[in-house]
Amino acid sequence: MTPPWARLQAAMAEARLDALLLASAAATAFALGETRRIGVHNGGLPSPAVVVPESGYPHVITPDADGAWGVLPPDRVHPMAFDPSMLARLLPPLLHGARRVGMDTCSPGGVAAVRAVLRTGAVALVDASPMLARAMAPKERREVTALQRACHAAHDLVAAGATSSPWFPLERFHPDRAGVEVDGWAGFARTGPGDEDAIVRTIARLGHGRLPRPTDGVAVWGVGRRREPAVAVEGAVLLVEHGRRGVTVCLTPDGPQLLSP
Amino acid sequence: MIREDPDELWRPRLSRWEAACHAARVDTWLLTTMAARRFVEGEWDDEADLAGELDTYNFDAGLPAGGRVAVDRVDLTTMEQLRALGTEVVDAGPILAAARRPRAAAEQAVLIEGHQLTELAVKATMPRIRVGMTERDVSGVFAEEAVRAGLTDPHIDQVWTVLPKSARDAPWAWLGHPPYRQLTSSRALVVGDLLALDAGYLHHGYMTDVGWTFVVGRESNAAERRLSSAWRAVAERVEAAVRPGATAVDLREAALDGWHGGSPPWPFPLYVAHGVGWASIEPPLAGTDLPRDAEAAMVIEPGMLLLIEPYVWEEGVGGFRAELAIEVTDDGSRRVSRLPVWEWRTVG
Repeated sequence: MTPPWARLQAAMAEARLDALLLASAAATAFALGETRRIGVHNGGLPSPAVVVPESGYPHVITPDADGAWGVLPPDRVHPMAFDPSMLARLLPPLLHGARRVGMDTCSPGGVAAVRAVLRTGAVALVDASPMLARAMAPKERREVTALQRACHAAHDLVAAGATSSPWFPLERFHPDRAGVEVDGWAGFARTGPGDEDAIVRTIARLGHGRLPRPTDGVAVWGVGRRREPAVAVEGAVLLVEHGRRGVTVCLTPDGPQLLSP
Repeated sequence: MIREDPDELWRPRLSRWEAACHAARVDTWLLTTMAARRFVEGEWDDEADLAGELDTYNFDAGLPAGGRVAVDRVDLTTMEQLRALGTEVVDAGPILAAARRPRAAAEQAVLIEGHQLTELAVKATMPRIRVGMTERDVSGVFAEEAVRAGLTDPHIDQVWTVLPKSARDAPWAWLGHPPYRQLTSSRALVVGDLLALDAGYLHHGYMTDVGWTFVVGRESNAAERRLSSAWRAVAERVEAAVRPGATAVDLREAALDGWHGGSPPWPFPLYVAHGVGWASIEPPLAGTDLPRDAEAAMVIEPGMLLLIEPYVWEEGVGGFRAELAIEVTDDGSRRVSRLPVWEWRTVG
């Protein structure tokens, strides 16, 4: 299995990026692979907490050193800081020699802090969000299996009428919908009323590079370690929903494969 | 149970937000995180994800042209588009921070009620914990009890972790700091485990934060009680230092006064005390890596709800961590915690 950071690094090479600075929950979790950070509902981090160099392991800034043990070398694990000047001390050696640095969504203050760090050099800061969406979308077989397990766990919770879960909930529980993070992977259930024909029509049109525009009230989301932007490539796992009904599918060479039970 | 009343909870928030925007010369805002949107808009999108992430992709509903706009999360392309429209982007974070307080009486009541409901859920969970359950199982039981108490939305993946008793059990620990475990796992509980809790829920959007440590399957021994006594001494020194006009530096120094341990008595890289309210971590922050002058600028005011959370650990014995909740009053403080979090309880 190719480590997820290596998949990002391949995409970075194509985009001529020397480093990535990540703050969004989906991208940081993807980039770190089996590394865990505590789940919190804060809409991602205000400042970058993951640095992906052009090769080798990523760096993470975290309160949870235990979550990186056995996945990342200790010198890649940096303690969370409250002092905003920490980024100014940490980033320069990590970005040494970089000419183009990609960044995803964070706070305007986070962007300003990064710009201040890069000001001393002739470094271009570019929006990496579209590249990240494409790079995160294809899931490997083992990851699809984990995503299917998470999807089934969400369905089991709905079937049991659960109002809570041992797993970290990504959504508020309803009698006909659930979203949970199971062993680091997101799973969703949508069993309420909705236009099944519209869902089926949308799935039929899904294929490599073909993502139907939102029509007929159908919404399509990518599913990974959290919700992701939808990208229709082979291996992508997508949640297709209409109203309160929806299914999770994986795009395979033979067409969309249903992951929902 | 206090019901959410827009006039009591939302309008005071909105009023403070508008004042903070006025002070920052902000004309409008584009907010994407659920916490920020709920604070300002007062509406809870019951169908959305609990974080609100990815909603930045909804910016195509229209970007404001001209003026100053407060934004909480943004990508560089959107920033450039706003700049091209002649719009100045301002970070919404500091504006939101300025608008969090002073809370109206109803907001304060909800905040404290949420804390006490979380404590009720902890109390109901304790007799249901059994040897052999995994940490994740315990988290599930706690989630059930939280729902029974009226709390449905966690803001964090609840921490139920067995604390390491020896440094060699925690090779990940930061050099020079007491070993700690933060992440709930599938580890099964055995007799003699020291099980730490750090849990929080949203109560009408206001955040709760409760912590305690339990002994699994037996009574605490003398060495463990030495830990909890040391924890209590640190917590009570900090509590005694809390009064209007004091600063985070005073709290840090109170924690360290007479402390002879090798490292500060709180979990690295966190703090010994922090505020809680609309955010789970609000000033004053005492014991962080912030420079002394930054902590000195965090002045304690009446109405703040503080969590005092030392961590005391000893090689071969283990650790004790809990959170003592206190409310700052006009002339000092009063305890909000109803649970005796400063001493051991047996579970399992």
